[in-house]
Formats: sequence, C-alpha cells, structure tokens
Amino acid sequence: MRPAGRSELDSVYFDYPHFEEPAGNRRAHLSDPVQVAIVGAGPVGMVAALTLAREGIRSVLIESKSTFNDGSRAICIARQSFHILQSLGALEPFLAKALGWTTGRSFYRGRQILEFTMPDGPSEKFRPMYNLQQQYIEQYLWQAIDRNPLVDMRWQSRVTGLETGPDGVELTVTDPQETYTLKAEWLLAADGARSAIRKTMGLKLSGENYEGRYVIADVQMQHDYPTIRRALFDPECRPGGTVLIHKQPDDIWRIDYQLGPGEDESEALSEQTVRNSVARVLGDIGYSGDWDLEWWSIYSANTLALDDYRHGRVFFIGDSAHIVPIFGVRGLNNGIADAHNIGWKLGRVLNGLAGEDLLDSYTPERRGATLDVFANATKSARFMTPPSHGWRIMRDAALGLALEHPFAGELANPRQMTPFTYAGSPAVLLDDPGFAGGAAPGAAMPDAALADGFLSDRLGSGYTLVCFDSKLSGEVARLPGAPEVVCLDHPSDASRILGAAPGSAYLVRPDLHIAARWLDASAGGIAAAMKTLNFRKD
Amino acid sequence: MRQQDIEAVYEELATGIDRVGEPDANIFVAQVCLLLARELGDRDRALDLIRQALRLHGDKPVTAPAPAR
Repeated sequence: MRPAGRSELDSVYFDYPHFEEPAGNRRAHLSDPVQVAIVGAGPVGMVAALTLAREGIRSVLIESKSTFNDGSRAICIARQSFHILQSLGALEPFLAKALGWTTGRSFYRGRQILEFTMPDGPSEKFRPMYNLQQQYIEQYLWQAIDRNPLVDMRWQSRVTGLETGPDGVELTVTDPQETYTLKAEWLLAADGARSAIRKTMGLKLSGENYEGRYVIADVQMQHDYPTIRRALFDPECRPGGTVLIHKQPDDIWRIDYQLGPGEDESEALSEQTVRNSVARVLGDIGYSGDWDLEWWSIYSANTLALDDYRHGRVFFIGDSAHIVPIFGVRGLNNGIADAHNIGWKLGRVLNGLAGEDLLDSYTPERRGATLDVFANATKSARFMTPPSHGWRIMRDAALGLALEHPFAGELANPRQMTPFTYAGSPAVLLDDPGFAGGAAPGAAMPDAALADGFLSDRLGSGYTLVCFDSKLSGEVARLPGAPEVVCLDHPSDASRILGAAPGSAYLVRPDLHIAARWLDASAGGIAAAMKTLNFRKD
Repeated sequence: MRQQDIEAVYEELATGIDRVGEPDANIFVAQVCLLLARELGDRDRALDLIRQALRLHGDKPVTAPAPAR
C-alpha cells in the first residue's frame, strides 16, 4: 500500500517500467509447443528461466502483471543466492547496488543484549547477507533475461486453464489481444503463495499458521546507522511487541513491527496509523529528522508446504510450494535455490546428459530444505512472537537475563541461514570416511581464496571436479562426459578448508553442492560416480 | 547441602517473588531456573528436575493454545 494520492507503482525511489504483451511476428508463434513453460516471473521464475538457459534450454516465461513487484517485500539475499546469481551471469548489478552485512543487534527495553555476527572471512567471496529491494532483484534478473535469446518472456499473460497429461501440460493463456493454448512438456509453477496452478490441480499446503502479524513499512530518510539488522524487543514504542529494522539502498529503511493480539488489521493498515507507528519507532531509535513513507504491507508467520513438490510433469518452486516465516530470511533464498535446483536437473535431462530419475531428487532435496527452515524458523517465530503464556514468560525471562548474561542473549540469535545439506539425496553419493575435515557430500561447497580470486569463481558451469594433482586432472579431462576440472595447489587455503590430501578430489554439482569426495581419488572412481549421478540407463 | 542452606534458598525465593510482585514473578522464577540450569551444566539432569516438578501438578490438559492448523 502507498500513501493517499500515490498509485501502487508511484515509488519515491524506483521507476517502474511498463511491459506490453508479445507483439508483432512473435504472436504467430504463441502456440508453438515448448519444452518448458514457467508461470510467474518473480525472482523464482526468472532464476528458473536463466538456469535452464545456461543449460541451453529454451523456456516460455508467463507473467500476468505488466511490471515488477509493487513493493520492496523480500529484501535479504543470502550468500548462497549470490553464488547462484554469479553462476547465471547476473551478479554485477546486484553487487554494485546491494548492501552487504554480517552483524545483527538485539535490544530489550532499549538496552543492547546481543550482537551476533554471521560467519565471514577472507576465504569468502560474498558477505553472508545482502539487503536489496525485491523490485531491484526482479529488475536485475530481467536485464539478464532480456539479453538472453533462450527465454521467451510474455508479460500481461494470464494462465486461465490447465490440462495435465502424462507427457506434458496444455495451458490456456489469455493476454490483452487473445486467448490461446500452449503445450509444454514440463511446467514450473512459480506463481507464488496464492498459486493458481496449485489450486487448479486441487493441491493444498499443509502445516501451521502462527498468530503473530507484522506490518512492514518502508521509509526514506537520511539515517546515520550502518547496515546492521536491529531487533527491538519490548521497546517503548510498542510495549510487549517486537520491531525489526533493516537498511536498504537509496536511503530506504525497512521497519517491521508486530501487531498486538487485539489490534484490528484494517485499522492498523490505515495510513495515519502506520505513520504514527513508524514515528514512534523512529523516536525510539533516536531519529528526529524528516522521513517519507514509501510503502507498507502486512504478513503473518506461517510454516506451510506441499507434501510433494512434483506432480507428474509439474514442479512447484518458491512460494507456490512452501510459505515460511520471514525471520529466517528463507522465503526468497529458498525459492531461488528451488528454481536453480530444478533448473539444472531438468536442463540436463532435456539435454540428454542425465536420465529422468534425476528429477525425483528435487522434492527430497528442496522439501528437506523447507522442513529444515521450518524447524529453525519455528524457534525464531516463538521468540519473536510467543504463541502462548509459557513461551512468553520464558522469552521475557531470557531477554531480561540477557542484560547481564550473554548466554541468555544468544537465545535471541536468529541463527540465519546456512545452506541446507542434501544428505541422503539420491543425487549425492556417500561420504568417503577417510576425511577428518572439509565438507561432506550434500553440503554447499565451501569457498576459498585463490591467488587470483576465489574458488567459487571457477565453479558452476556444470559438474566440476576440484583436485590438487595434475596427473589426475589430466586423466579426468580425457573421460567421456568429463566434468570441468579445477586443479589447485597443495597445500593452499582451499586444501586446508577442504581437509584435502594431495590426492583428494571434490566433485561439485552445478548448484555448488558437493556430489561426492574422495580422500584418494582415481579417474575410474570419478567416472563411475558421474555415471551414477547422471541416472543414465546406458 | 545442609537443611539450613536449602532453607536460605527457600527464603530468598519467597522474599524475591514478593519483591518482584505480579505480573513479573513468573519471569523472575524462570530466570532463576535458567541461571541454576546453566550453573548445573547438565542438560539431562535439568530436564529431569523440571519433569519431577511437573509431575507434582498431575496430568493437567494442555491449556496453551496450539497453533491454528
């Protein structure tokens, strides 16, 4: 929502473009059958299209709106998502605009009780977290899509019908000029929390709704404070409630504040009430200058997911598959990981590099990641928004104690964000028990500093073997269907981080998760691993 | 611990609850528990003691609102 007199797209800092439906001779091909159709061009749908394009696969991307998201919404992009953006060739504008951060501070009744820092260091190319408004995220992904000939983007196009069959789907699409049908072998549903595809197929999310409701408001102001996430518990401006404050680019500040159980939602969302509430928060943090109200919205904390993210030829990615509480900043980041995960797998299947069974690893990997978020987010949500008397008593006890005892303050640590480990996935091999350190198969590949840049710069264009022995490197490069090979010095920053011996090797998947590792690798073992991981029958 | 030691703890808690008063007495007792548990340094022992105390209150139904499904 926006202040009176301003339309939904009338922002104080962002110029919304306007996109027309397909025009000219493109219209003669609207019904040409496609391998992959993607519904929803939010960040998740766009990452899916770019990931498929990287594998050389064309897609049609269908979006009912004529522009980007109307507000800032998801603003925290995690390190792993930056790695994904880099692998898609979309990183540059993100890096130039987003605000990186490592630190959070929690306050109880005005006094700081905790300062936490997320893991970071010289071996990491990217900061643990970056703040950037969702419409910029969409704009920068769109720039990458616009220069990519493999993505057929169709704005102002609404899916009005869906038939599913064993060999694909038939969509009915309506745009301002006509209604047409589109056959696709595969459908990716990236159409958000209220997914029409999900509803049409009669599928339901299951899980829990929490009571807590938050108003999120963006204001523009010249506020002198670093990019540090602030959480205010029981502050003077909202007794008994919780407030979160994040800095975004363009002098925009995100203020989230909790509504009390008795507060009426429509009253809380009126412009005057939002202005008064924001003014009180700003008073609490000692800001007395001018500010502009930009945009506001409301959310509640839910942990809801589909039981299976795949239904025949349809895959659900992002919010259409799962809704997570925002406290773990996993909504956008998990959606990006979903899109990337199914994108490279479907790409390799359609390219003939992998068998179709690879696709069955999508649900266990990504639904597993969702359930992991639920477990962490449920803890955070209980702290931010205690669901009952008992939880509230203990939360308040911990906050009070934290003024003098740091261990209690740690209970307020949101434990944001480590990428999920796909242990036990069919697309990951068993660990080599010889390793004493490093990271196990299924985990995100650790980054390391090289003489010229970072290890992560050398990964992500397919399967990559990271090894330290030039003889092995040469043998693997000659294998049929060989992975890319990155041969590093031993000893080095990388060999220490990976716990590697001179003959060790890590096989890294296109999504930068570890597929397999060997303490003492051989070309034969790597060839056998590639065969297993590709699910090829031949 | 001698009887007079536990008596001293008993009295300190009683006067403490009165000094804090409602509505924060619950929070005060919870803080004491967290501090004692940390000092005890034994998760299983702490959980067992909490459950021992809970048993004194019988099989009361859960009164806390479960999250809406």
